[in-house]
Amino acid sequence: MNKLKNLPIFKVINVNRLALIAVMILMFIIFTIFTPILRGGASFLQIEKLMSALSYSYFIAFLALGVTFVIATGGIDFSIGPVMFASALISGYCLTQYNLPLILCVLISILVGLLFGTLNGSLVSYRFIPPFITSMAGMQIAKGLGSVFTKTQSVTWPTTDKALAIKYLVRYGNIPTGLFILILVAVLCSIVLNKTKIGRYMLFIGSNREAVRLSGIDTKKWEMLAYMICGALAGVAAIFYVGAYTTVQPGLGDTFNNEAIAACVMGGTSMAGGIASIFGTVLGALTIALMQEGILSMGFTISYQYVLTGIIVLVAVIADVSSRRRKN
Amino acid sequence: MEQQEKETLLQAYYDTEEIAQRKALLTEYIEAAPEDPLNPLREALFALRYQGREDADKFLWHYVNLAYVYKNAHSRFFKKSAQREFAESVQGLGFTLADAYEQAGEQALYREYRNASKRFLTVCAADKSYKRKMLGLASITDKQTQEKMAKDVWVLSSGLQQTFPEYSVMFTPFAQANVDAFADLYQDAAQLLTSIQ
Repeated sequence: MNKLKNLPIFKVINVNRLALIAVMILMFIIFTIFTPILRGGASFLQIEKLMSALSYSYFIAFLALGVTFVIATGGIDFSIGPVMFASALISGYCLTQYNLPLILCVLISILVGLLFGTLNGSLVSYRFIPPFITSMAGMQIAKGLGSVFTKTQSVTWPTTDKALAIKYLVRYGNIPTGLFILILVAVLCSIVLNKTKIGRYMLFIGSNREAVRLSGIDTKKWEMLAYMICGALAGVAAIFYVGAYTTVQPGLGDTFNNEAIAACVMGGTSMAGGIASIFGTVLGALTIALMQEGILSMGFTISYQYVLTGIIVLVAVIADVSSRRRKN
Repeated sequence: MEQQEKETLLQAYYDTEEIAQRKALLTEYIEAAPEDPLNPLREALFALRYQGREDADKFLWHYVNLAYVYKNAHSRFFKKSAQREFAESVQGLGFTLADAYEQAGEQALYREYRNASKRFLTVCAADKSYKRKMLGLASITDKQTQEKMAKDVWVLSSGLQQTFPEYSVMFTPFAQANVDAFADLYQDAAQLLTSIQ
């Protein structure tokens, strides 16, 4: 195994990420073989299925990218899914009921996410409330706020000229435009996390908070910024969600928390904080989207996906904990 | 003041971690022993470490950062930036400040680093974030904390020396200070470090 680890490929791509790519290829092969068997000739190898999987991956990836910053600081945000839904509901309501311009509604969506991120971040950093409790409360507030704002009605984003640009953000015909935007945002996140002092502060807050604080760094400020980035990206995720599915229902969204967190952990971000991988997170989100599309394609219900996501989170966390134990 | 008293004063300076107290002790020592040729070096190290602030120990930043630099130095993507950052830390920790003082200067560097290492390791041992696992819902045991610290000490001594051999000689006082400060804290330090090697 050590000889394998010395191969040049492992200096370019981490073992975890390479394993994730292998899992994706394996899943692709399994779905390709079993879909025709279980669904009487239906094929998994269709451009529409690939586009559908990609559409699902975008908003999961944006959520996961945001929560990667928070987990890097040693925290957690369980409110991202409901915040995404609250952002989509409030901005969609503004678009359909108040006829606000589309660009303004997109900004409202990001702003709603940012406000939730700021609220969570300030409570965790400045009031020392555990992230677990804060984000659980944030989750309930986001669910409630979305419902109150829309008077418990679901909101359907129009697919006409008025909001067509949102659909084109996700895909333009068979061109996966969302993928280009995702890559762009992921590169930006990677630069922030790996190449800037801000990213370094966030990582060190997760691993050696007290030493960093004593070195004169304002740890509270940078920890709060991680939550703000997470919230803003939940607002961005909302735009990609409505671009793919148009209708948003109030009181939902919490199932996407697990998927986003699973994407992070699968990608190599440590649940203990201090270690994060943006590339791994994107790979994790793509894996989850592929799994979701494959399960549906084989004729199973979405409930099976929840079971599988839960198992994946557990396996990823156990792998993270045991690899840490081994390293120590 | 007798030579013995001066040395006691100097030792107190190197034993103390509190910044304001260290400043007072250094001033007192310089007044008591103005003839000591290492005084300018001690002052330069003090200025470099605290940069005029009483709430910031810049050496601690380098300790945390160097462990990260070590990891990056083994990545194809981040190798160059790791080399650049290591060179910055060499400046930031004042490795070159003692060049003009020969052996005595190296000893002064060692004593300053040992003080900083002790502070760093004490902070690590008490820091919840250092012991955190599973989103902070659980902590590693004291034994695991020791092992984690041993790994960090190994990185900050042998690990970095092996990774950046061109700096090996000037790195020696820093590396030795880390190992000795760890040994001050734990009786089985040597055994823990050997198990990592």
